[in-house]
Amino acid sequence: MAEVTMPKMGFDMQEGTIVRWLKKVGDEVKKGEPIAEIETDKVTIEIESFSSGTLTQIVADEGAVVAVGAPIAILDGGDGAAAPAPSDGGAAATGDTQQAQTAQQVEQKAGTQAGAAPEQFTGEGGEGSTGAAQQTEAAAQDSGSAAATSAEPANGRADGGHVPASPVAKRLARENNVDIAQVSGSGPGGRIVRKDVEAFVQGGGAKTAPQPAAQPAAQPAAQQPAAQPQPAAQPAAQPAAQPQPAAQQPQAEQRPGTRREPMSRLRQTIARRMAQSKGPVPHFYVTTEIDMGAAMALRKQLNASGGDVKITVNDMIVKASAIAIGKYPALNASFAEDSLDYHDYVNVSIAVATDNGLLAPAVTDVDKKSLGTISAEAKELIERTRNGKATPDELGRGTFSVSNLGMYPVDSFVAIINPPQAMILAVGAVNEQPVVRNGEITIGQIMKVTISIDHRVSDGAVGAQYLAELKRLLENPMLILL
Amino acid sequence: MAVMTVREALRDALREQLKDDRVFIIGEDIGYYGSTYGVTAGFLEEFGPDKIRDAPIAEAGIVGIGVGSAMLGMRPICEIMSVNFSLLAFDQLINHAAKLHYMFGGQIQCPMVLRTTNGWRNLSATHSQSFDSMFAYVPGLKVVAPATPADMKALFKASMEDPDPVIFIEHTLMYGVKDEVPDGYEAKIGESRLAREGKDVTIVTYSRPVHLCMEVAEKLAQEGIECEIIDLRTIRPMDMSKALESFRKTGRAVVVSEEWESHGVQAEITARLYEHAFDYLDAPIARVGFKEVPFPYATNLENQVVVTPERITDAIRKVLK
Repeated sequence: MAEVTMPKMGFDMQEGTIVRWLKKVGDEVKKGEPIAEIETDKVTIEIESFSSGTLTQIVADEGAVVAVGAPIAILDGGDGAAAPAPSDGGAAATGDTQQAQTAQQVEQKAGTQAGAAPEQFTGEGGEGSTGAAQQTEAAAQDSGSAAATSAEPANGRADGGHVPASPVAKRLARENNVDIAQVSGSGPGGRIVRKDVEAFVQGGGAKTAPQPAAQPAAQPAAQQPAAQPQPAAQPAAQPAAQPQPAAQQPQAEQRPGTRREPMSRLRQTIARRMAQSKGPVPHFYVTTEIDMGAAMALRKQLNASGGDVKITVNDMIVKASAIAIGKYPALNASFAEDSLDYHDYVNVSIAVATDNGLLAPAVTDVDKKSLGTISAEAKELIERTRNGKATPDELGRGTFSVSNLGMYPVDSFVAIINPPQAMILAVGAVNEQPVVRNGEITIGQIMKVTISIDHRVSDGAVGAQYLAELKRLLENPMLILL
Repeated sequence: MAVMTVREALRDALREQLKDDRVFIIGEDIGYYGSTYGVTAGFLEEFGPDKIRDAPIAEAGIVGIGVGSAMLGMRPICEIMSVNFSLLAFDQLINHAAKLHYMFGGQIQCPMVLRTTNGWRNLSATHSQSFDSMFAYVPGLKVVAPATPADMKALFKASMEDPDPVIFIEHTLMYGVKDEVPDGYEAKIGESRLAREGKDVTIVTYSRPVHLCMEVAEKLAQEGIECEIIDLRTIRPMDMSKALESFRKTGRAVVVSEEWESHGVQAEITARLYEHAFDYLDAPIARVGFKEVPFPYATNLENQVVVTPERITDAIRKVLK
């Protein structure tokens, strides 16, 4: 007899929700065959069976929220192998990338991936992607039907359940593990067409699982660049405000001229996490101006030397920020209720705008890697994140974040920390400005950066010292190459 | 780069071909009368009676001469004034022209080009038909139906260079269409053309309806509906690659042609879309063609039968629902 347990599909994953069983009691299951759809806070993935046998018992029903490692089903006979115990990443890791790939499909970035701050600054004037989530218009969907917990077909057909759907709608439903009977059709005669399935998938869909309860602060959350450009320099302790229940949408009367669109699952997650971060985490902010003249010159020189990798300004900032943090380990720590987790490693989360929202994949060991390696890894990660192919682990492993709006005419901005991280660095554009050097007025290339720090973890002086160190490194950029 | 009408483009193309000793034109009223649609006006004087041969009303004879002379190494251009009259030469076309190369074991070719016209307008039932599908149905024939002056010129040249019998279909209501003909412009038989880019719906068409569809597309663009138009140009062999590429993008298609709506080229186009892009289909494919009645003579009745911009627009809207 083999137990099927909830696999650990990401470093920070604590529990998962059973969305749908793909096999029923009595079915034969082969090792490696997908047997259920599991929803974590970030993605919905198919899990595979680790052994073969007949499914004799479903322990956790659809909709159940199960802790990692707890049993969800029993397989009888077959090869008798017990499911491997959940280890860190372990057996789930191989499933992870495959499943992450199954879940990410061409037409849709699958489900939710918790977001973080905005665009990647390439230094060439930036890439044009915006953070706006693109939604297709769902004709007859309101959040009521999206949250349906019953398994009745949403279009309520009484003729034995034949659901008229176009071939492309059926294919998309299949590819995204959507039960097409749950989708409302906007085509003639209630036909389900492509845009209905697309809207369904983006809208979080009527998967029978309720939204998972707000995860403990082990998961990274999304930041939002605040609208106001001037940062608050004082290390004020903010009272913990009540987070808004972002997952619920008030069923307000709509005026004509208003279009209601269901939020994608990613957007809902970002909404929830923003509130969870901004409320309880007491932010304080410190700003400084950095003269980037030497750094830009060095970058030009490096890129002209005919290598394969083109260093961006953001690459340099990421490296410098990682080196600087070595002196201030509290800023590279994670807040954990009544203790601080100090990390040996420095993984920098880089904010990336994707079609569905903000995500922040992290480059690992940035303090130890060369600028060239960081540049190459960052590019690759960002590319994959934009295509919806970043793994939950990559999205969750950062120890602090860098967010860059420098490709817009943004002088400075204030970012929201990504719990459980303690710090986020917000980078503005490099502007030519008059500066005073050696008693003379000359032209400098000035960039404003603002750090947001969790005041429970650290204090203003530490923040200021960190910034001073960052400034020193970027203004003497050869130090970044060491 | 010159701007010219379809008629002028054809005259250019014919003139170029007539330089070749092997080429002659045979048809009704093409010489002395100056041709019904003015395509060969003045050619008798320019090229002489050996190359410009008036024929009596004897389509079977015209095509028979074409087939026979082609078999013996000449490059005849046979004109059948209206495709309706080609019925009288079907045996020559289908049993001879199309099959000689095969039945003679490859020893004989039949490089004949049959120029003919689709068309209507108060011409009544026996003079308003089109038989695109009947020609396209036959292996051994090539069927070309260009829509623009540039394509008329380039595809006529390609047809003459082709060793197989080519049915070159013109349209009586298109001779005045004026457009740019780029220098050195070439076109291949069996290659379609992307006439207009768009993301919302794929329109597959050929010959005169191409212009109607472009008109409709301009209008619908103002509503934010972007039509992608594929001009097939050749019906046999039919190139569906661009149409399929487009259809995979839009998932929705309207097929437009001047033929009766059932059992025609439209049906073939539609079948191939379903067959090769099934998983991209988002709505049933619509067809717009002639209403299935013998053509009326009276204008008001005729307007109810033919393909109009309104009917094309309605089909597009229906498909986008």
